[in-house]
Amino acid sequence: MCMLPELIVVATALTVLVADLFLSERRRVVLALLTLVGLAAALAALLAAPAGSLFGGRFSVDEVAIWFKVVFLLASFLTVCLSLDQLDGRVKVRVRGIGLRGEYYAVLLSTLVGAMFLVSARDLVTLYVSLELATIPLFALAAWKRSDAGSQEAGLKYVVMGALASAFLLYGFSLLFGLAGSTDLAAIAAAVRPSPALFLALALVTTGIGFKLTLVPFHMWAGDVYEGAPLPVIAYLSVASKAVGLAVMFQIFYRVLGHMVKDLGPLLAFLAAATMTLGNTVAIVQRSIKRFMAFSAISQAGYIVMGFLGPDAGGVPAMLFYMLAYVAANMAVFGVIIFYANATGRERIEEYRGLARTNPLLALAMMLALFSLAGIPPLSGFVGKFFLFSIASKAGFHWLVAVAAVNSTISLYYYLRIVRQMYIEPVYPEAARLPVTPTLAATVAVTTVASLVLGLVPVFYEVIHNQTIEWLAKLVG
Amino acid sequence: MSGAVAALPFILRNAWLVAAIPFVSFVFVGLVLRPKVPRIAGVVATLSIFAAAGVAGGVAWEYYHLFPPGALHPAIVPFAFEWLRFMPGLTVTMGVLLDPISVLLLLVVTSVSALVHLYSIGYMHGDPGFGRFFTFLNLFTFSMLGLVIAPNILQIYVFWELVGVSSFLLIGYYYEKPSAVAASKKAFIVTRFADLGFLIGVLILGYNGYTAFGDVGPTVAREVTGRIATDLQPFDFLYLTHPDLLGRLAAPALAVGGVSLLTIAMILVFMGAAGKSAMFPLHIWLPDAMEGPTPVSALIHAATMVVAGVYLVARLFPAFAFSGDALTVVMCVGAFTSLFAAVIGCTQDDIKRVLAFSTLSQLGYMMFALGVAAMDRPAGYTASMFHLFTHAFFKALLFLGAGAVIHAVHTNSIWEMGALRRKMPITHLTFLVATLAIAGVWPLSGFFSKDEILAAALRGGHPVVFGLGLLVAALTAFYMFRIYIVVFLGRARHEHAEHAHEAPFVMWAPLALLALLSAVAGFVPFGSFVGIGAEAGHEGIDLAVAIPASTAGVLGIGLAFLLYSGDGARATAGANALGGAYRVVKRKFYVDELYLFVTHRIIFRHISRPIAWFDRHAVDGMVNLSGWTTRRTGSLLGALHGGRVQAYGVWLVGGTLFLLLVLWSAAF
Amino acid sequence: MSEGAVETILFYAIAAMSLFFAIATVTARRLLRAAVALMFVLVLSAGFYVMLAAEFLAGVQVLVYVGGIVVVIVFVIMLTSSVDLLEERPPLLRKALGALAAIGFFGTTAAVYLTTDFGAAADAAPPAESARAIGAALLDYGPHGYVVPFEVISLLLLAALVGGIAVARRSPPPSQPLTSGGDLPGEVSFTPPKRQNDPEGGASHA
Repeated sequence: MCMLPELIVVATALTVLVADLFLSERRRVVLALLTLVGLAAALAALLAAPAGSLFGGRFSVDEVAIWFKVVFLLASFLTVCLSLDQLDGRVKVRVRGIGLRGEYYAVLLSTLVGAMFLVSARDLVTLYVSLELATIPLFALAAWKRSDAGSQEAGLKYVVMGALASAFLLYGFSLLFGLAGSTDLAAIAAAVRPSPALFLALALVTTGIGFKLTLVPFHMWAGDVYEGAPLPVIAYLSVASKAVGLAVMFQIFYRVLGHMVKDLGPLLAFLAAATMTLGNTVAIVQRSIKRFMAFSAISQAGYIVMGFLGPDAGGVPAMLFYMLAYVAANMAVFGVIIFYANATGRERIEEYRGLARTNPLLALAMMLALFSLAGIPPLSGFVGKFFLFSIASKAGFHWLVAVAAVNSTISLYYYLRIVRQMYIEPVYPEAARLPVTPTLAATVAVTTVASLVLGLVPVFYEVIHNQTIEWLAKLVG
Repeated sequence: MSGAVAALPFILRNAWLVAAIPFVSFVFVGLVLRPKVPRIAGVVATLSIFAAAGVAGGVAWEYYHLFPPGALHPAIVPFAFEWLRFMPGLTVTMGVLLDPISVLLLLVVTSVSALVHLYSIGYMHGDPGFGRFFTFLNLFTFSMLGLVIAPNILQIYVFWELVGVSSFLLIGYYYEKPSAVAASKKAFIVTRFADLGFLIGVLILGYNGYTAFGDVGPTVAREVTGRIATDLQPFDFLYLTHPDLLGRLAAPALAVGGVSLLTIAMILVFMGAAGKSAMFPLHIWLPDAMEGPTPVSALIHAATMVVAGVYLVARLFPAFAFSGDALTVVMCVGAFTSLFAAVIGCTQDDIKRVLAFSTLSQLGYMMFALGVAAMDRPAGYTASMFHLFTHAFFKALLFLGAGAVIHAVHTNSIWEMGALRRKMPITHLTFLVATLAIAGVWPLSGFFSKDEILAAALRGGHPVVFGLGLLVAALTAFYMFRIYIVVFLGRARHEHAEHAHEAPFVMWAPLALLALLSAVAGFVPFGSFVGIGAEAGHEGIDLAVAIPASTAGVLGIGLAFLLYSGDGARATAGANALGGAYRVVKRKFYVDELYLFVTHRIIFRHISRPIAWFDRHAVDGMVNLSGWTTRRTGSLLGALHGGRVQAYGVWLVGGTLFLLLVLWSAAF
Repeated sequence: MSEGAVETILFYAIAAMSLFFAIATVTARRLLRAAVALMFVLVLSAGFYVMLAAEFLAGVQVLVYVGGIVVVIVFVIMLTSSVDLLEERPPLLRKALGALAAIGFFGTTAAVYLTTDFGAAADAAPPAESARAIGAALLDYGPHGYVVPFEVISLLLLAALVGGIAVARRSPPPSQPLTSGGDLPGEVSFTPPKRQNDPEGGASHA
């Protein structure tokens, strides 16, 4: 039963929503636990269930889909872990207006279901509808700090831009349908030939994907939305939402345009270079850690897209591996950011000064995770970048590798800014050790160790590689 | 091919444990015990090294079970995994290479390290950085073991640097002491400078090895079938030391200015080795490194890290031997360092500095022993490794004994000690054993190994080196007995020396064990265990060598007694008679001053200043400009994200149109 | 006069009106007027569906968009008493940029359609799907059915509903327990929160 993980997540969402009605305010603490158990069960079901398909092939699970779903489930699981302290009120500094736990988890799980359906979709309609399910609830989540005008503004901007991008995507899909006369991805792949209308469809679809994946120049919303939205939601946006974009891109670029993907190389390379360069240069001048992470995430998206340049499908395992490494590192960083915001309410980069004195282990975790994002060996970010760069280099995009290397250097500079604040700048005068809740501590610890282990032990990459590559070779032919 | 490897005994297939245990302990001690319960950090760290020593013992047992003594001892790689794959056919692996010398080093490093750990529990007791010390000590042991088991040149380079870093941390352990900080910096900078040569050598070897891999690789791969766990890679030692490849590297076509590429690469590699093993003129960091805690000196600067250079030369010995010229360089540098350091050692007043120069001198011994060997005449190779083996024990013992003395009298100057024979009987006895061993007195271990080296030099047709060796042997006996007499005999020269007392059990137990090892290690039939190429020659004691060597030793000892027993007036008179020459030696031939002069006066003033000016005004300007440009661009681009949704929409539409036009125009 | 000619005239008439109201939607300064203009655009779109023989879709278009969405928009305008609000005149540059983007987009898409050879797809008769066939396809779980997206949409509606309600609900005043969902008494007063002023944050410019 290959749809079991999705069904478990849906069931969990509904259970949480209903249980919320019958629980008193104090007892609603169990909702987070319920959600986590559901997610863990879904993950177990995913890893246990074999690949297969349902509904005459309209919903099918293959090796690539499984790995995408692993990324989605892990990201959601970690997001819940990062959210529950704020939602349950176990914080020193309250976040204005956050609450409604049952609804929060239910909505979060719904977006997850959308993401999971999306990688298994084999027709345009399911793909589009699932993408909407993965996106629209996020608008509400971005505005979840209900009495905070910034959060409302973030939600509104996200809605407007999201609707625009979604319209573009739908326009592109409808053109694809019009050109091929079918909604089935394989049928479209067989029917389409290069023509101006296909290019228009492609440009429109890329716009929609670029919005999710924050590719330049479709990334504009990210800074504002990240600034206003609640922190755990940003963590989800920066990781899971990007993975969703990547999944749609994979569906369209490999399943529909598999035979054309080589010709798209220069354009993708240009997008990648523009994205990483803009993300990095703008990140340098940010002062708010949230906006900073927004642009850092944009630059990471630039690196990931390099995986599509491969002459064969060899880039997919590299992208999946980088995604996993990115989930681990980014969630560790957000774990520390959320911890610090919960304990002190501080969200500016220069306010991180002296964190290494008060909470050395958390500062260490943050430093390792940032180094992983910057791609310093032997952390997983380095190995991931290494594979992505070698894909680009094999495809002949040496200039892109050079641009990416320069960008990595720039990114090291601004990641070091935070490290400098934590380790070198003097501590606040009255600073004492800040208490950290067990869930946050465990989340940060697990993700940090994961960023280390993924880099040191190559087994993970090998597994992803072996499972996906053979199957992909058939797809691209 | 991995079938044969899979059939190997369990402990050989899992020999990686020997390095993994200290690493796990390092992480555990460093992250958990150090901040929480530093008191038990020492015990845990020590137990882990003992466990590693147990694994090393198991590995040695199984290895020699598989390849019995006397037979040929091939190198095997029972464990390896792929770490990074650049492209098919170019992969970086990590793994374990076992051959006689790596097994030997595993035993030496783990056993000495375990005893030093044990000793440190007593020595560092009450130190505020107790936990930190053991964390670093574990890290160092891990790095050293990773270096020893490296099956390819990249792994050895990685761990080589890691060893450098951990030794930097340990030398600078007393970081509130400016001299310790300066010494650690000096050690790091000098060895880093040397490593630059090593790195270039590695790159030359690696690049040429890789380009020749298509031709030579399959042959070598067939030869090593069944002995290695993964496919042969271009960086593996098994490949890099194969005659077919070396022949290609030494080919005249690749020669630069008449010198073959192989020779250039090997001399560059030797530069790295000379840095780590403190060969002249890169030796200047080692005496200063004595600023670290004494157990560190015993572990790093006597038994393990400084022999890494010797080990590297031995590991790449076929390449050095093939080049010939490179091996001659090794011999000359080794022999000169050996004499040079021994002369300086006779004049130093700081007990640890004497031992440091003695270490330099003995390392020179090992180096020139390698230098006089050849593939068809491997006696020097065996002798060098033999000396490495025995020296590790008696030099560690000397340092630990010196540490016990320093611990008791709170000074390093031998002229503030004296008459410690009665106050510290165990320390005295063990120190005496080590002194006799290093002086080469029969039947202690130093006699046998030194004898082998001298015999190898004589038979290898290097009478000058042989004579030099004899001279160094006499000098060694002299300066070692000089400090022995001044420290332990005579009368107490300072009130500290009068109130000295014996070290606690955890400190003298390692001393006793090491003394036992120093005494008996010479009786190991070493030649049947360690050798290379042709059957090793361990001919037993050659009287033509033993008699002059022993005479030299006895002469040195006699001279020391003549000069230093009693009130030492004769020594002062002697020093005065030598006058300027003595002062020159005492100031270590002004090498440090020369370095200072060259670096400060010449380089700083006449080269650095103009460069600095250029740097400040031109390069800095460029760098600042690029930084400013980046920031400025960042601000400008940041201003685009002004928060106006309508503008974002325009960008979105513009982006779509751009994509469309690019795609469309590319189609024509 | 053939039937084709009538259809052509009808098409251009609807298209012209549609264009007029669409321009009116974006240029009207009063929100209510824009909403009414939008309603006409949507109704006229239903006209296109009728001409393409998709009567069912035309009905749905009128029901959902005119009967649902435009009504909601009008409600919002009325309830937030922004009927009298006049949209501020955008600066010329922004107008120009917006126009440029729109015209550019129109121009390129028009060029695309003029140069593309749609081949067989252009001549194919519009499929005469009855409401019954659409319903059957939506619930068909075979290889040509759409039961998966149908179910996904149901989940999407639920999530959007829950999320929308959650965001629209009043938040508790600071005196209430943080975690309160807003269902406890004593939260009638709503004090607008003070925004922290962020000098370089983009959000404050909007």
